Amino acid sequence: MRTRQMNKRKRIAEATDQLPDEIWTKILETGIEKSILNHTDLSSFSICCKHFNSLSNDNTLWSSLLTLVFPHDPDGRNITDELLLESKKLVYKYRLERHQRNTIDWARRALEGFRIRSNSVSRRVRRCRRLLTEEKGGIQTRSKTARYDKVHEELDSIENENGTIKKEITKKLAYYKKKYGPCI
Amino acid sequence: MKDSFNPSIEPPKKTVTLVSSDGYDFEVEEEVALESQVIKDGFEDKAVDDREYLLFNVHSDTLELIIKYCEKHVSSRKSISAAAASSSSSNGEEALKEWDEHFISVDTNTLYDILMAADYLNIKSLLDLAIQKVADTIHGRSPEQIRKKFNIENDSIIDPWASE
Repeated sequence: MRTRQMNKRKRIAEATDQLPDEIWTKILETGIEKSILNHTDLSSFSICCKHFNSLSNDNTLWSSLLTLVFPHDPDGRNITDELLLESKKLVYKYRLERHQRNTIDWARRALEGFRIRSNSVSRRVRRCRRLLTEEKGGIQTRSKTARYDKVHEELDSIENENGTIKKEITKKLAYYKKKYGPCI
Repeated sequence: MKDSFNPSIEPPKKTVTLVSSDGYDFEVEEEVALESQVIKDGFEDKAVDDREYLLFNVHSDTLELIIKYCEKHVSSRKSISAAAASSSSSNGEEALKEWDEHFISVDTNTLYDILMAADYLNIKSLLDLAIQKVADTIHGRSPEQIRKKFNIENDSIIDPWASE
């Protein structure tokens, strides 16, 4: 009986450095199915080499990704370009870009709303200060002056906070610009 | 004799012999070998005295790992169902998951070998485990990192959306 020796032989040849295409395809399919792989992973995989590129261009793969990510319209029914429809990868790209445009649009409108409200807070603070100054014109007592100062302090802190919010909004806008390009 | 009916006394284990591509024999228990769907499918038709399987596609290094995996899974299944029968709490499934995770954390070439062998022998749970491992390895990595991990030479494709 040939029995395996306990001492470790040096491994001769036979080492597998390539997988058959069926197994790679299974890996990509399972990865998508189990939400391990997203479109960024597939894209990274596809630009590794020509072989991986052709493996990852498979329409079945991109179809299942489309179904997972855009379940309401995986076929891109409103895409009219027939050339585009031939490649599920391009359909995905189209859907993704549209989704990103919508996201930016939504973000821009939401941020715009916040900016308007923040400006209105600034205006109201200024109005309060004006009213206070007019009020101060009358008879002065020490306790009254102290109260005015207190109100001014409170207004300062409101303005400070509002300034911070404004900065946050500007930062968020810059972030979206950087992430999705200058179209914002 | 009451004792002879005691189910805890098990009959002697039947074994089969698996022969690796480089000609080494591995004697394993029948139920361990039957983890492979391919062996299981042909098992009934095989003569009782012919319990030898020549695995032309599996190197001894890999076969050793595969047997280790199957033995672990057979014994874990038993202890999990035993724990369930005695309704005692057990973290057997958790422990097995951890064991699997550790088992599959190997270098790329070994992972490839396990994948090929699990595919060839049709051991579904092991194939799934290895496939998930590769997918996990791809996830979140840059093209350059993937190339390095899988020993791929860059033959230059630049646009990720290009269809060659």
